[in-house]
Amino acid sequence: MLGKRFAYDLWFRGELIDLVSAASGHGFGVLRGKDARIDVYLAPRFMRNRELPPTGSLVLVRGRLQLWERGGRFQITACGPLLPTDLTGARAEARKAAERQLRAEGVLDRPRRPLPRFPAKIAVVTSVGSAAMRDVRATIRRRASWVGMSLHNCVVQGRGATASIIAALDSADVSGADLVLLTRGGGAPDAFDPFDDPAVVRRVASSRLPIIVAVGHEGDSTLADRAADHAASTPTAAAEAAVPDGQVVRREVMEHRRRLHAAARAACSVARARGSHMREAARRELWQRLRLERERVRRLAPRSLGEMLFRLLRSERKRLEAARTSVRRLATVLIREQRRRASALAPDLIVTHGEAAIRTDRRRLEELRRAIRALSPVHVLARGYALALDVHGRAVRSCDQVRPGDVLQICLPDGEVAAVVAAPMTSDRKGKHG
Amino acid sequence: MIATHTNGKPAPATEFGTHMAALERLRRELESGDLDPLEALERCREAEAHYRAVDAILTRVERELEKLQQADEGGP
Repeated sequence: MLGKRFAYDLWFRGELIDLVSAASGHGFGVLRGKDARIDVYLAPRFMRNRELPPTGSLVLVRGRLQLWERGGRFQITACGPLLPTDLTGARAEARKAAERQLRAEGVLDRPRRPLPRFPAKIAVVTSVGSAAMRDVRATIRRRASWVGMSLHNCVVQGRGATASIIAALDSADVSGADLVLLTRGGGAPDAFDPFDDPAVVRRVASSRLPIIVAVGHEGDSTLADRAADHAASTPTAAAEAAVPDGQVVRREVMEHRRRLHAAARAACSVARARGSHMREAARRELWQRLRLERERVRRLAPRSLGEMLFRLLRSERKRLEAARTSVRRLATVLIREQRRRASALAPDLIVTHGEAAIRTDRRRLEELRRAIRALSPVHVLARGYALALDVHGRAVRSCDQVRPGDVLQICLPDGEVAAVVAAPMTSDRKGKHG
Repeated sequence: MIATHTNGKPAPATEFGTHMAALERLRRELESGDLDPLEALERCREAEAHYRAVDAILTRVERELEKLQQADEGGP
């Protein structure tokens, strides 16, 4: 019914906020006035072979106001192409003015700080509970579960968004994180206006910590992106830029480890070869030096310890040989002397045949002894005779030689007997009395 | 030591010959029959003394020879 009531063409004028050409050829855009906005639908015939007006330009379009029932809102169904004007929309104009000012201040296109490759903690500035926050959290947990997160809630569009974003950035700066990630999800182009606000852009540029800004989706661009250290097209991309991929890091670490091991092995091998070469060279040099030193010592110090020992040994050996020769000579002399003395002792013995000569002399001696003993008067006495001796040891040959009372010594074959003369008795007297 | 001739005493060789000569002389005297029994007895006793002296000399010579033989076998 409403569609029928507005079933006539109207001319609309507004700032083209967004214009998307679908794959089917249909066009969808947004027109914004001072305090209102409305979607615009363009049939494919109004999109083909036409130069589309740029975003932010002020355009005219003829169409009908129709209800998009499935979306539950009104939209302009264009009855002709978008007619560009040479004018720029108020939003675009304001954005350009802010851009000029910020560039003049050096806020835009400032030198970018490098992002920490392995942050331990990330301060996420976004609307808590938003899809952007979920994407960021999921991505960080998937890629780098060890990284901590602190969430700093803010309003990302509408009234109060600018102050809220700045306050959240202030909080993030002192959170102890290594990195700030300012993000929000997709939305209508004018929903990103807070991120074009010079105050927010300046605060982004003055962030104490490296900061990543990701606003909207692919193709969306804000001035805050240009003031950030890194601009990402989506919250997920921002999270991916913020943290490394654990799997990739693990592979890199393993690869580095493998390379390191290989390099270490190669270095060890080279060092070992070099060490072996150096050791061999040092050994040769040492031997050479030792040989030279030995030669020098031998030449300069003949009385060195070795030389002295050698001389002493040689001297002692000579002395020993001399002593041995002397002993031999002395022994020979002694033997010779003993032979000579033995010969002198018994000149009639042939010492060289000493035992035989001595036996001969012993036989001779025994013969003499036997002969002498055979001639001994003891044998006569054995036949019964006796020998009388006076006290002077003289033989008593006559009775006249003794008187009564004289002591005589009577020799018998086996001994002697002392006797006293009772009365001498001559042979005559013995015959008279007999 | 048998080198007694070096200290002024009669050399053993002389001593040996002297004793042997005395023994020969006593034998001849005893065999002559000119001695009375008492003299013969004294000659026999004298001969016994010479005999013991010669025996001692021969014993010493035997010992020296034994030493020489041992020295020859052992070498210097």
